[in-house]
Amino acid sequence: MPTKTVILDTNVFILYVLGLMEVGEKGIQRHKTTSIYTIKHFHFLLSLIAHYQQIVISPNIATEVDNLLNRFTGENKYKYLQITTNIFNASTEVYIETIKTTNHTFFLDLGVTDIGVLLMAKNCDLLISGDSQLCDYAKSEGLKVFDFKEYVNKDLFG
Amino acid sequence: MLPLNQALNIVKKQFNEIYPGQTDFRLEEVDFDSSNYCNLTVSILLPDLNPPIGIGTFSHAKKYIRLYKKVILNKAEANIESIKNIDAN
Repeated sequence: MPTKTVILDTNVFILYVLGLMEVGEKGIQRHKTTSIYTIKHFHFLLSLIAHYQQIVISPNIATEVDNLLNRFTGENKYKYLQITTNIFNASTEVYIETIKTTNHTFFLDLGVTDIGVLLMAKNCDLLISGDSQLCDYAKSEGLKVFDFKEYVNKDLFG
Repeated sequence: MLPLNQALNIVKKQFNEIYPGQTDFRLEEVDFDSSNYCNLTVSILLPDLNPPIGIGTFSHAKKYIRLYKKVILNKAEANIESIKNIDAN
């Protein structure tokens, strides 16, 4: 039976890390990119991921996550390093040449990381993204995508 | 204190007036601190009235574009102070 794979885009990846760090709802909402999410959304994300055996990441996603999160001190710093190391150890990393992203038709709108995610998603079972624009493009390309912001907006505001 | 739900409804109503063709109004980010103002980043889908022209882009012509806006709302007076364009990336 083939391994089912899932891509976590940067925004959702950050929610995943913060949730595993048990920073609490205020800790999640303190970060700009995850400011509308709650603990409930983290648990929902866990339930989504549970259907897949392998998380797929790219160097660009890992770099974006680290740039945005690696500012903790003390106990949280230790937790962050431990959790991200564990996730990266258990993930598959896919490398997409930057030139392939800059030559892409959507480069002007999406940028290097998001184009890389679109290209990776063609070979994965699901993309989970909290980037509305990336989700628009992924849907228009017929890719299997879970639009996390759409879900959260429906959950919060009906 | 203005609840977030109510704040968002004020913004949504204003956006419906400014952009009658918009769909898929979304809250993207929020800074709802204890000050008199809250910063909301919202997005909407609009029909693309200026699609790119050329053979290279023909198969990828978009029907909609997503716009991101930063809205500053006065919580005490429940009104919008400003709406600014922002880049998605």
